[in-house]
Amino acid sequence: MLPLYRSFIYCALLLLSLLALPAAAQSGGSTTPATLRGTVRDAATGEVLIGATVLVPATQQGTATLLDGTFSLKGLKPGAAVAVQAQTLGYAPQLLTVALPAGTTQTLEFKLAATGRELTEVLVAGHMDRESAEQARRSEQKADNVVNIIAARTIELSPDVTVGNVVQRASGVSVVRNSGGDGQYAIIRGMDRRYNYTLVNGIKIPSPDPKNRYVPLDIFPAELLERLEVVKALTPNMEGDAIGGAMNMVMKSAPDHLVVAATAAGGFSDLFASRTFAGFSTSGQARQSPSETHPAGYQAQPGDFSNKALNYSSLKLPVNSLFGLTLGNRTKDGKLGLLVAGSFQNTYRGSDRLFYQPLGQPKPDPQPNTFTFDEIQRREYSLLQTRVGLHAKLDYVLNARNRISLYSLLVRLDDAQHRHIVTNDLGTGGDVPVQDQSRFQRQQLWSETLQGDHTLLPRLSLNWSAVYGRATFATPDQTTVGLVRATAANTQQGTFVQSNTHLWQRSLDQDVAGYANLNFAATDRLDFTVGGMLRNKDRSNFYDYYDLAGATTGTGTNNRQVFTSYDQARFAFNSSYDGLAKTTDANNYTGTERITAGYAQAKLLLAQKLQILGGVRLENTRQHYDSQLPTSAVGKSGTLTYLDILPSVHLKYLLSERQNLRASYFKGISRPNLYELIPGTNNLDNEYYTSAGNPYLKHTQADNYDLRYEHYGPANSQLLAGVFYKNIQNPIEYGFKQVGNNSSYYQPQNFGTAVNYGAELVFIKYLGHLGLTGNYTYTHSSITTTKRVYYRDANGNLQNADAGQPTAEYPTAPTQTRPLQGQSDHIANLALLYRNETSGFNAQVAAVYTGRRIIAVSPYKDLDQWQRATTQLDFSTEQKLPHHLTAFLKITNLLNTPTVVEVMQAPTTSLLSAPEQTRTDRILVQRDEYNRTYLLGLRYRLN
Amino acid sequence: MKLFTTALRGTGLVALAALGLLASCNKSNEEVELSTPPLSVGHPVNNSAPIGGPIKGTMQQDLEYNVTADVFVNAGDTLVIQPGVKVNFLGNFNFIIKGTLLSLGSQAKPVYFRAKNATTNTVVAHTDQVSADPATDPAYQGLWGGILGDVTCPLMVLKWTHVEFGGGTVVVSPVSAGIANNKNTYPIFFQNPLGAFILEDSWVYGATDDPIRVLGGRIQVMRNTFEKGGKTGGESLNIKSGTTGNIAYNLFVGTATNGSKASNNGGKNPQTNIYMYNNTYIHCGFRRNSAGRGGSINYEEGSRGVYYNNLMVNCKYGPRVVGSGNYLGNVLVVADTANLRYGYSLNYVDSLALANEIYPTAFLTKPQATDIPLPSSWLPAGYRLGQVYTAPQSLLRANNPQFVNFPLPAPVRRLADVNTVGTYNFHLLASSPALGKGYTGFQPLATSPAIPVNANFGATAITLPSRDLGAYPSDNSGNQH
Repeated sequence: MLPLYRSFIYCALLLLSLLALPAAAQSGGSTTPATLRGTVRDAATGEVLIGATVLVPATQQGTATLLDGTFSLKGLKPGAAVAVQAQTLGYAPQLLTVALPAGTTQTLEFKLAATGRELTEVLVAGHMDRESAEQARRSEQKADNVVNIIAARTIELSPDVTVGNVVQRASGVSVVRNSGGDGQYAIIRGMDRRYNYTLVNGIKIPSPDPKNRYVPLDIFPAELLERLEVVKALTPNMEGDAIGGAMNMVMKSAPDHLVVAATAAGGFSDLFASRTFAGFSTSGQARQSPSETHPAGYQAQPGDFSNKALNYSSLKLPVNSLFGLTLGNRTKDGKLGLLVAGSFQNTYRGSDRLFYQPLGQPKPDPQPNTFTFDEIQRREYSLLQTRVGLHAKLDYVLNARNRISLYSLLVRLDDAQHRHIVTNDLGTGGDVPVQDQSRFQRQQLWSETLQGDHTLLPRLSLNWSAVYGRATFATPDQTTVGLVRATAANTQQGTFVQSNTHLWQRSLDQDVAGYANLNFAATDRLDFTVGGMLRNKDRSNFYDYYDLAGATTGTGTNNRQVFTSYDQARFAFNSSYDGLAKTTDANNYTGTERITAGYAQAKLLLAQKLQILGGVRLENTRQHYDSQLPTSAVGKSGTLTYLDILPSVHLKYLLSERQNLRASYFKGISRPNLYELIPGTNNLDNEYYTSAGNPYLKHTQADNYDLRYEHYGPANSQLLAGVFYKNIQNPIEYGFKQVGNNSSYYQPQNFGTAVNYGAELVFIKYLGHLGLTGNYTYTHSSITTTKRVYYRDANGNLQNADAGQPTAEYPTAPTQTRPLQGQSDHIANLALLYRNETSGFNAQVAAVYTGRRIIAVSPYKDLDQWQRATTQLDFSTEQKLPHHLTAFLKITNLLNTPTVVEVMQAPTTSLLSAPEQTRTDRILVQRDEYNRTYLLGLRYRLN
Repeated sequence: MKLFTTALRGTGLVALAALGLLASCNKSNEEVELSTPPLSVGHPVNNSAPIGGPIKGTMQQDLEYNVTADVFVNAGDTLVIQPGVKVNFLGNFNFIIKGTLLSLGSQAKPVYFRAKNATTNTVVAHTDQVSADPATDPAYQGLWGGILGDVTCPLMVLKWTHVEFGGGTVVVSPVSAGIANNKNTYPIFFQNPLGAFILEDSWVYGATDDPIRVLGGRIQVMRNTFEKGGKTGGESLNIKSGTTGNIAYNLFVGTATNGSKASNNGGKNPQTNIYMYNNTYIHCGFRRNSAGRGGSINYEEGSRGVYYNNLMVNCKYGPRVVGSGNYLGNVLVVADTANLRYGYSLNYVDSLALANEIYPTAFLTKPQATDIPLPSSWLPAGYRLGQVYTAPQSLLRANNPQFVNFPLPAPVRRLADVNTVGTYNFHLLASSPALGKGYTGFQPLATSPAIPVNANFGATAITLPSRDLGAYPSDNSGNQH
């Protein structure tokens, strides 16, 4: 926890220096002026209103309320009856008169009446600013289930520009980062990505990932969001396949007045001050593999491949740019509303990695499973990410009883990644490999949702959605060239051409779905909802791969080809059949998944105090795959069907107007990825072990219990404290499975039952201009899986013990109990905010603490790879300017926090002299540095 | 021919002795010579049409079979190949052995697994001209796949069998494990630690990578000839974890890397334990273009065993015992040195570069007092294992093993030019310094359970170590080629 303290001190120092700025801008008044203090509140709820304008119309002196709803007007002209007006969006202005004797300080309390109708559920009040933090707090309070919400205004103020980074600020969520250091996948309450799902406006979206069903979150620009909800307890009307939780991206919706917002920003990553950005051009890349552009049976020739993508540029401090535009309006009669928003981000990211590439098999001496590595690599990543997001929401109110809306979303992330690997020059010589890889990857998601809301009878309403979603992934001609620098004694010295690979990969994940919900409000305190859903998913994957070797130059010992440039390098196929298309590779597969679901739920309010929401959901799953495995393979195609009955109950007890007590139970599931079911094999690390899919894999089921106390104080302060417990049946983990005499596959399997429990704490407190928000989650999980132990027995023989291979020392397979992959015992967020509505200056320092966690599970006992605990510190600030403009600055990763991966084993003495091996109790495997990014921009907002 | 005359002489002596016995004793003395039919099982395999898919039974004597699709011998089935059978692969197809394979060639009628050009319908011939470019030599192109044992294969026996031009690519491995998708296969592949693999008196010619890879098995690899193993890398015999047995009396000519290599990687039991004795390694290690990978014998990653009585001529590296240490670009995991014994190696070299790697630099091979040349007579004083050294010029061309027909210094421009036996003859002349230098104080490894000695279902003979070095001892008990 020490780094957390350090970052806290950092925050405090930064904020103190910022506070000094606006304070100096204050000026004195004329003779014996008066002062007026007070608070602006919601007349109905007593909730304080932040940022409300308090104005003396006669003198045009004014201010805005602070984070705790208070205001203070100094230097006022005294008078017997001074008119003062308070107003804010969504409320009727209030004009009060007060006597202001000279030199006195008077107080005045405003109570504004809301003009909008207020709903009880997560649906937000019509005229309130739906994107505000206030509204997020209110939604959390009013929600039927356990949910955490981050509002658009909070995001805007935060250092984050992609959803992948935003989500790490939510309570109980940690992220897995991409090679540029941005959050990519969310781990919710210690449950890895496979146990969570992602929604857009409550609708599940397909995934562009070629093997998995979870959605990379770094493809979504943050500025399209109205809010991000993390739902941790599922109600019957939600899809049941989440155990950790569901992330719902609620996108900006049509306003009731003209909204114009635009953003332009530029910045850089200071990684590229210390080294250059080495990018490549994707023009001229072959979209299709030789097997696609030639007739069936074609054997590719070395001349069919181009290595032009390996001509790298060298840019010093390339400029990142971000643009956003949002336009929205509604017709005068209020019937037709439209919002269109677009976002474009062009960012140069990168990281430097030190990597001890683990050998597929540890050493048996001096102790069993002694960690060992193949080589030490220095990797440099240069990524150009181009992120485009476009969405449009159109809603049309036919009449008071009928409303339809159409929502369209297109997001695309182009990721041009150059990976440069140099094997560290240690030791006594040999071949030093150098490798460059150019990978262009396009991930795209397109989704259309047509929805209708109909009041059929005064107490009976229907809503429905028709959804089309299409996620695609394409990596055309991923090119790798390997060179070696020969340094050994007694050999030819120089740099030589070694290897070349070309990979084409595409996938499509397409959903067609329909949802319908029928709600009957029997009384004001009891309503019933029944509904159903049908989704048909089609998935297809294309994979083609070519492996070439550096052409040798004639006979003789020294026939290696001397490297001059990538353009000059010549390659050849080793076997004449290597040029054939890889049509029967198991990575080529198609699959379908049909989910048919129905539910019934009831919501009952007892004695105005206790709300009970409960019901049951039935989900029927039918999965089918067709692989390109040979006809002789068992499981070339397969069909799996199962039915789940998923009950849930959610209790909410209103201790007081400001306090809730919640208790809930739900049953959730997690389905295997289609790819995991296909029994094709892949040899990892070549001869070390073979991995394979598993068509006998069962889906995971979990019983989830939640208890949470909520306190919603004045001025948007909040305190949430809760505990959770999950009992997970058939979790999916990797382990060895016997396939023959002393032979095994490493494959996904079900391993009994795992438990996961923990506690969460969320708090928000504002004092004047200062705010402190934070959350802390403790998680504990435990799973036991089989592992392999390689050791020397008492007789001096080397033995392998694992599943199907009993030995004298291990009559049954060795097992290991560990936390679930990705689960940190402690995760925390802390942000210190300064907001001055008068001067329009905001600043925030945000820290994210992620405790140590397993990021890679080793097939060998005690060799799991742990990511060391990290504290990342980010800073953002903004200043309102005239003409609806705001200037902002975001700096991420102030501390340049490295990601360090370790194996918890004491290194041997000789290893201690290797780079970065500073600990005697653990071995460093990987160390990534991303450096800081800076972004400076201007935002324009009309209304 | 020479062998035949030797055999005749031997028979003559025995006959004389028998006559003597006959004269002294008055016992009945019928000489019975019965014909023995070649082993047959099940139904004959029909050769009237190309084969592919599951087969079992007997491939009949002297017939030719054309393979136009992967052939499977299912688990529980047996395929017997009688002498003189020729299996022609017309493309990138495999023989996948989930059951039992018995390829029972004879000296007079060997069995052939070979490549046939589908368009010209001609059998692909050896192209054995010296100094041919390996980049274009069909031996290294993998014209068909391999004889691939699956995890269920209990017994694979290859006797007097030619396996040529194999090592093609598999997109999806047709066996359960052990062969990577989209990679080359191996002309012979075996992967059942409890099964038995017997390769006797056979010839393995060419391969893209390793000609033989064994991921577990009780093995008996004796009296074979390996030529042109591996294009730019590959061991003629690449042994991984779960393998125990003997590799003896083999001739390795021009293997890309090591002739024979043992490793215990792959996570299978039992620990790899290989006895390599009385093998002859000629000009190995020159197509492996990366440094330090070895060029004759290799023990690494926890493998154990013994190597004695081996003869190495102009190999890029002497026997390589891998020790711990940093050697870039190489997996350096120490062999089970506590359980490795060796010595009685003869190393002949024509060049200084090779002399400087008789005890390979950066490795753990301990010079033995039984090695030829005698290490103490030429290694620098205070030599540390793996140290870089400069050998004296006097070592070059010393201890010429005096082959019947392989003049030394090597009759080629480049050491890498020697890849096949051709007209060479690696028998030893009576004047050879390799004679009488061998160690016979050990027994071949007895696997557990033992490999049966049987004309059809096991090893014909497990030849004991010889008092002479190399694959061709003077008593003709060794390699019969």
